[in-house]
Amino acid sequence: MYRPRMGALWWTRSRRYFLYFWRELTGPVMAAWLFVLLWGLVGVARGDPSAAHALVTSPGFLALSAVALGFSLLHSITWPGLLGWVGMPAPGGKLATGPKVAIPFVVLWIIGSLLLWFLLFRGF
Amino acid sequence: MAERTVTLRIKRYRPERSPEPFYQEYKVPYRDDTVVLDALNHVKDEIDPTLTYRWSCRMGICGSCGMTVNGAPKLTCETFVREYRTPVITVGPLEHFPVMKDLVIDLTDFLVKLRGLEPYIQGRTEGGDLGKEFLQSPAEVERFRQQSLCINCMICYSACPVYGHEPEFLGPAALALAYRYNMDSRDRGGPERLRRTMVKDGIFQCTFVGECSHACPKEVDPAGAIQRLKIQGALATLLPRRGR
Repeated sequence: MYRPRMGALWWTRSRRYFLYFWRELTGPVMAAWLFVLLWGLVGVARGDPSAAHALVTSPGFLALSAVALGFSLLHSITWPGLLGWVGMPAPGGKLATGPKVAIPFVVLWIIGSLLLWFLLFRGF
Repeated sequence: MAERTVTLRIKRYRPERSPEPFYQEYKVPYRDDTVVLDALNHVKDEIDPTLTYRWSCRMGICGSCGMTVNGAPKLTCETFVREYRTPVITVGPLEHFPVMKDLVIDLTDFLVKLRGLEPYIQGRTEGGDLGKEFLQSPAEVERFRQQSLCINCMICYSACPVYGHEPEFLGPAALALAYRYNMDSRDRGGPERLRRTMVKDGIFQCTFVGECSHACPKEVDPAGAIQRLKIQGALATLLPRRGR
């Protein structure tokens, strides 16, 4: 018997593999972005705001931020679809699936984002 | 109906001749109602009787004829040649499984895993009355009907990259069947079966690619079943007194 091995480019073979692969990459990209951001914040905490200013205005950080935003949006948009797939308990012991679950989560995500934006920029 | 021809490019493996698989091409006539399995049968009956593959019912019930057709796992008895607008159709064995010969895969791994999850109704013999009838309402049947449609064709395993990378993973069909029996109101083996799915290579190994559900020819949705098992498993761990 022989057992075929998966190639390194298996994720290019279908649209769903492709989307899954990039969704899973969200973690490392966001970790890299947060690491750089924390590095800048540590500079501010140590009394060197110029270092943080230089960091956040650098083209490299702006590019990384744009990439991280793309990844986080991909994750945020595809995640409710997955939740709708799994389903949620509904009245009468039934299982609600699809848009009935996904749409409320999208609405909650938008409300949560607006609330956070308000608290950060208007609330203080 | 007019007959046209298509070239079947078949991945063959004949261990008595060569340790490596190789491709062999056959020109086959087809009509609008010819499925890939018919084309394979034509090759075996008319051109090359040494070609080896599994098939039985020819109507999408037995689950024997799963193969990789142009890179995607399919039941060949319900995959029409006319759907492929290419002059060559490549047919190989289902991916991720050891290949015994030509298009025949070894199912031992799946069968061992399936047996380990005890996919049958257990333990409800109230009052020792084995002759008692246990009625179910339509709503109770609906809770597991979708997963009960599984025909063990292994197409979900072939579509699952987690199983391809980690052959120890229990896999979509076995876990979907575990879910099916856990949701059955007649069954009392749920807690133990759930515990068996929560092992190292069990439900939490699934990273929710979802391709198993899209590839399933019977719309069983193993991916959804596994995520619901994860929720059941987490609740059973965090709230052990909550029950099922």
